Amino acid sequence: MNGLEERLRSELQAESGQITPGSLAGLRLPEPGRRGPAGRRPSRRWLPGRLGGPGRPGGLGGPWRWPGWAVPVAAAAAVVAVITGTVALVHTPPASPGGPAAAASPPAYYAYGVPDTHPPGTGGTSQVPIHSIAVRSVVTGGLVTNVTVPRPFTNVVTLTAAAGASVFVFSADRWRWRGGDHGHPGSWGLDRRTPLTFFVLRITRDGHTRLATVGQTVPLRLLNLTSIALSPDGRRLAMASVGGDRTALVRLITLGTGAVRTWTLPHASWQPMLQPAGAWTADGRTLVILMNGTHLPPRGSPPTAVRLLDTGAPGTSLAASRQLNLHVAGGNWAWRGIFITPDGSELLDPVVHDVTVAPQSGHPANGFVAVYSARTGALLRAAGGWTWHRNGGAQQVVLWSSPSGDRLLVLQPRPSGVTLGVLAGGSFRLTGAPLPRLHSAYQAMRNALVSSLAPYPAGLTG
Amino acid sequence: MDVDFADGLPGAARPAAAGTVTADAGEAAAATGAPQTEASRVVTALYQEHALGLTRLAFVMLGDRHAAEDVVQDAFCGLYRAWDRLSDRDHVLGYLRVSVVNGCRSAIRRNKRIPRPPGLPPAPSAEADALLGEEQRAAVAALQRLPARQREALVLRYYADLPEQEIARAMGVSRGTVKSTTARGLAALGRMLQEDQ
Repeated sequence: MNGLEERLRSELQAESGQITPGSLAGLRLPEPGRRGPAGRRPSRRWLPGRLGGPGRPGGLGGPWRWPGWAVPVAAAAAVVAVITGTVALVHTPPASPGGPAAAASPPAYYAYGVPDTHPPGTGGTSQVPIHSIAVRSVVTGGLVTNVTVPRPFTNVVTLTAAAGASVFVFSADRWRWRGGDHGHPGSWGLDRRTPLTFFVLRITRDGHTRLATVGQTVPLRLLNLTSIALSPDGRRLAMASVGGDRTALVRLITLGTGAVRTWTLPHASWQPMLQPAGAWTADGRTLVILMNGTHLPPRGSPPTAVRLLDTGAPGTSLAASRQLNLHVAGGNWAWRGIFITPDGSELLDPVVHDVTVAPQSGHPANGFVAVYSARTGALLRAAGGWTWHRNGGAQQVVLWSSPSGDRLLVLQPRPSGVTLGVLAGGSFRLTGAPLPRLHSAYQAMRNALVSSLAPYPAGLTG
Repeated sequence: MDVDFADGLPGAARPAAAGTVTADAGEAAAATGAPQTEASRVVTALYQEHALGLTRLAFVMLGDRHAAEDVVQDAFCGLYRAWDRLSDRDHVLGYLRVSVVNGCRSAIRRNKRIPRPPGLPPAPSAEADALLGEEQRAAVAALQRLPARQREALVLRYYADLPEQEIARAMGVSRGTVKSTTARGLAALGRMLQEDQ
């Protein structure tokens, strides 16, 4: 066998590992009376059973589907929901509590969105549906599970994790491919009849997944959702969105009760963005909001503008939150992911050092984690230097922080690809076995998250 | 290393004891209210044993998990519908494999009818790269660009580890055609990988 044959064999084996045992839906056989040659073919609408283990009747992993009569009823209900301006979701118990103690432990898992590898098209953009969520072990890099979005949903919109809870929350919507005609290419479009829906994904200690819809009524303005962030105890979900008149909106939903609290700022010149991991302090009180699109000075180093919202204080205006402009010498290119340490003392901002180097230029660039005071916004130090060697877009991402910020779990661009490691005392070291290489992983990093679960790797605690 | 026909595909679960009804089969029947027939018992047991391997086979051929699961579900439903007419029940795995290969071919054909926007390569995007790494999946990515027949031959040979005779049966062609198709596919794959470098 030559090298190419060996390579093909090994790649195929690795690729097939994405289909994990226990991740398949159960078998749904046709009714006995329809088994003969004249029996109808089974419907492709396997609802919803694409997630979880096999065979929980009535559950998300169950091998059942909606009866035929229910489909138009459900469609009609969805339309009604759109008209009335709310989306009704099924109630489930709140997420498991975690708490500050759990936030002090390094995570065992991280997750990221995985797109459809061969969609029919993208409408000329880089947008493709993200049809599943991969969960990997921080220690081994091994794939724990790959959870496919339940039908009829086709796309993961946002994904978040609680630093101190064993849950991920993601939202999903439905995209439809609209084929072109008369020589025009087709395009992907949002199916507005299928409301944006939130799901809770739990990873059990034995590595199994549990999935449920979030039991809430949420405003349909969330179609303009920019990001979500689960509180450390897993009980509250912060949602950032942009409403009419360019109103910046932050909603905080208590998952168990459905209570919603809203902060707004009309005519904002920026979009509120939440870091999917690291937006909250460990006490679940302070929320960091990145002011995306803040007017930047024409030259010099642009600031990263953030607002610190005290969710325990009264009021409904985002204007009452405290704004900090974070400056770093040398510039800061594009995407920012502001991370607040669990104790609320520092803000971590992964930056690219040389602003003159564009991400697609192919030239090496340098970056580091800028550490600011969360009280004054002053730059305290730089940590975790890295050199970005290759084209394709990459930036360091902070996934977890020790309470005081002295130990970070980061995705860092390396010559061999983007890898996961621990940043402590200014040095970076890989965790356990190497992760899969994360080359060209800008989108993956944007969606990269962590969830804290015991057991965590020895050596990460200190 | 060739795998005996009855050994199934990589990822096949440990075979259930003959004649047993698994808990899931019983639950499924209970959920639908359907009586437990021999066909439903056997097909459900076969599903539990071979669904993973067959879905992986379809997945590496199609590169789409949803489509792969649909193809495998269809294959088992087809087996269930044809159960009473099946003359050789010792070779149901072969029947399933042929159904999956045919289903994949149909899925590829259907997918071809949906136009891709100009300039969009059929390559996986960032997150897919993230999963396996660029170099680690270059051959798989190139495989997806091969004609369906060559893709089938290479997957059955180098993923399923089937001997030529079984590949020929699954593809519905002669052994000679399997040899030539595999050789052409491998050569094309090598050229693609060289061009991509």
